[in-house]
Amino acid sequence: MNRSEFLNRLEKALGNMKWEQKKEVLYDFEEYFANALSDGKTEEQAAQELGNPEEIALSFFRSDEANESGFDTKATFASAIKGMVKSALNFASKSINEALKLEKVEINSSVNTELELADALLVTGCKSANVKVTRTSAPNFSGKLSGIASTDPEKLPFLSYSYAESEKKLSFSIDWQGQLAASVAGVVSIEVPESFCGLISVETVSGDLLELPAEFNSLTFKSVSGEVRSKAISLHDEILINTVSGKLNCANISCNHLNFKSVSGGLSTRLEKIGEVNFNSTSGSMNLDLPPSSGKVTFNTISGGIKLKIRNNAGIDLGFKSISGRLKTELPFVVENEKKGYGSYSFKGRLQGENLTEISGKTVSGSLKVSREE
Amino acid sequence: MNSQFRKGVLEMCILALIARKDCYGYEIIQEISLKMDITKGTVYPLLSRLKSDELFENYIRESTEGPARKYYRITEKGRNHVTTMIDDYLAFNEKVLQIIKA
Repeated sequence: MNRSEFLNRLEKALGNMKWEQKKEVLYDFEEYFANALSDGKTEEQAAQELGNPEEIALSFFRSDEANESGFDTKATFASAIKGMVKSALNFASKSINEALKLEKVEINSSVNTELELADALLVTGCKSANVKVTRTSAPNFSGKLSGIASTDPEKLPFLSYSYAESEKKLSFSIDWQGQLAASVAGVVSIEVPESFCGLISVETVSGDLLELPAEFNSLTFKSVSGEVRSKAISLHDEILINTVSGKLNCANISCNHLNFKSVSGGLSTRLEKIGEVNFNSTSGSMNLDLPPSSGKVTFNTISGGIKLKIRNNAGIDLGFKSISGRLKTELPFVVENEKKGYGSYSFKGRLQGENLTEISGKTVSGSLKVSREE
Repeated sequence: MNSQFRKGVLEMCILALIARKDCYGYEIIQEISLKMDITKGTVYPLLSRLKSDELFENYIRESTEGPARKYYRITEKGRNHVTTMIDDYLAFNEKVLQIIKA
């Protein structure tokens, strides 16, 4: 187990612990790894001597009696146990896989819904399969699952759908026919009619989100290690990304609100139009080209670094606080306040320009770089 | 060894170390694991609880050779607590020795 695997498992097992506290815990372990590495140990050695992350998480809950310190003891305990059960299941599914001698089978399963209208499109249960959503000139929604499945050949996984009339919600998911160990290396492709402009919500374990149509309303993506790799995202309202290590890597984004939360995943993109960006990651970094129009950006990381690039005539109002991170820039900021203390740093200032974007953020050790587009 | 007992002793050792001088997490763990066989990761939950009991407080200091480090400094409450703990432990230990060596 390496550093990021350890931190991911710990983060997961800590479940519902308050974010502020969870960050503190993750910071401690990051610091342990950093010290162990400069002591000449490898990440694997350090992880091994720390012990099992799920058990460590449990001792956080055991050593804590009350809610006064921010734990919802029952819920967190439950989620730590869930983590342990999950790793047991992972282990079990490996041996099941061997016992069943799952075969590799090519699959091609299509489903046509005959459905023309929906407000929300959900794609779930994809595990390691990638997901693609595109427009079609056909009047109805349809889906296709293709790739190589590792499965019991008698029980081929297939793509199924259901529709919740009251919420106008259409859900696609892979029906694994009860096989825990089955998996697909392939793609779930969903086609949506021209008229669709609602919510797209995708959940995977390690599958990536490969492609999205233009001009819909909002997007949510939840994954453990899956990434958003769509070249461009252009939508009207909100993007919510929640991953453990999955990144958002996208050439262009245009939306009203971008909300990114991860443990080690980072975000890299050029914003064409944006109202507000919230970036929250423990060790992931953010690389952002800001749009010419004004907006608001907030960030909160432990060790993740932030790089911001500002368009020609645009300006920013910047507030930055860190413990050991620093502001690195050659731009002519009008400094309102800068404090370099013993183990703390804060900066407040303005970069003059036509449209002002308000930027504020905190890091523990991550630095902030601000530059202007050439 | 009984795990409750072990935990109590470990807690006392951590407090005693920090009472002697301010330490950072990795340092505490190294010092203790030189003498005792412990699962290193479980020291952090203990530190976290002792801190929420206000037995010590944290501050961050940058180091020249490595990452910034979070130091633990004992509070007045912590110092009183560990003094009582050590007194109790030594008194207890003496009684135990009297019995087993009798």
